[in-house]
Amino acid sequence: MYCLTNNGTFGLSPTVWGFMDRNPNHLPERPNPSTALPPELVGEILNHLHHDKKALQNCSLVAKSWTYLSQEGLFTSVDLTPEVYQAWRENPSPKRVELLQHVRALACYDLHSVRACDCFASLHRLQHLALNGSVGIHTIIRYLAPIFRNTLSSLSLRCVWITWGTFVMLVDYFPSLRHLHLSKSILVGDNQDSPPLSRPLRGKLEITSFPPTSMDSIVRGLSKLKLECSVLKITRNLDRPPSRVQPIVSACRKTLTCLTLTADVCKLQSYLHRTDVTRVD
Amino acid sequence: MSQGLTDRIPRTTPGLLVHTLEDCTELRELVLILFFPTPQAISLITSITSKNIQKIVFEPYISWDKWEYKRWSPLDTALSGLVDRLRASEYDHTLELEFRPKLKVANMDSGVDPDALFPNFREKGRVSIVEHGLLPDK
Repeated sequence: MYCLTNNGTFGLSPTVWGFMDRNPNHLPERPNPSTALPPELVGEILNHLHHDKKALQNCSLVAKSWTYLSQEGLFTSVDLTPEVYQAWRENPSPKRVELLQHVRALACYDLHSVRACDCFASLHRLQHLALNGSVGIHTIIRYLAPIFRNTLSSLSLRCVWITWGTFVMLVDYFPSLRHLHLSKSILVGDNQDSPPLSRPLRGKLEITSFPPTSMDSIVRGLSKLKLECSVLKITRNLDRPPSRVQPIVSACRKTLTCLTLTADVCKLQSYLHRTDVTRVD
Repeated sequence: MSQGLTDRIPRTTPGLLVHTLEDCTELRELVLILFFPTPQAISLITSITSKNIQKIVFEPYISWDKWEYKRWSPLDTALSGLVDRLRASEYDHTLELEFRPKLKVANMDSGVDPDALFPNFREKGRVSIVEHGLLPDK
């Protein structure tokens, strides 16, 4: 019924949503010592299981009184794939709206188009948004972003294609944004003509796994924005020539407290080919 | 200002992402993911001027047999010099050198003490290894 995605987040297939809609009262209420526990005590126990989705899934089946408390943990992180989105669109239900209010982290995968959907209104507590692959940024901004504009604190763009103007608009749209992660994305055009940020970009900025040409463009563009980041993490593919990111570091020089870098080290492959060495992470 | 900064980057700098941290006055932690402390990395550490620096972290892709003093002595010297220089300007932290190894070695000699690889720095700071350490699975 539930499935764990390969990145460790909790993904729900359309059949799961359907199951929960069709069986809102599927749990029998029967005398059981476990149901006699005060809800605050049950909540305290379940709080320790937020990273164990399988256990939460089992807990949600213990009794009705446990279901709501378990759902809070089960739906903290949700993956929105085209299939799940299609199911939302085709079968809207009050139950889904109720479940989505628990969502704090949403990852969108290959979502080309998004249209207004009643379910989305429940995402008003969203804090972390990850956009992966071919995602229709403009429609997401139009239909989704206003719902969690004031709560979103973390934005991740991975493998997306976006213009500088849209990027600046997206980053500027969320006043509480404190973590921006850019990975393997392409920012098209020049930042020269894009509007300036209305406020400095603060918090954590991560730039990872860019090819040198994209990295140079991103460094140029970002260094023209107002940056007051306290944490910078800049890594690249180790088998590629390095890019120079000094402008970003210098732009954050007055606020930077933690800097993570992949230094220019060579011959990685020669070490990885050693038979006596294995990765542990 | 930013364009000026861009222009200041020496085009001849061979393969370093960043070449100086002298302007980063609030820097508390520097994390370097690399094999060995390259001359560029040593130069970067030497350029630190922040009086708030508390930790320098290495995440080395390194095999156990490379834990030899001659390979790490430049880092030992650089860290020792860094602490001396910062303390001359009212630096009151204990600088920590932390290793977070990315690799482990199947057939590893025992008895290597990373602390002993930094005879100068260990008098002035602290050396530690976290997470997986360098010990193989028994």
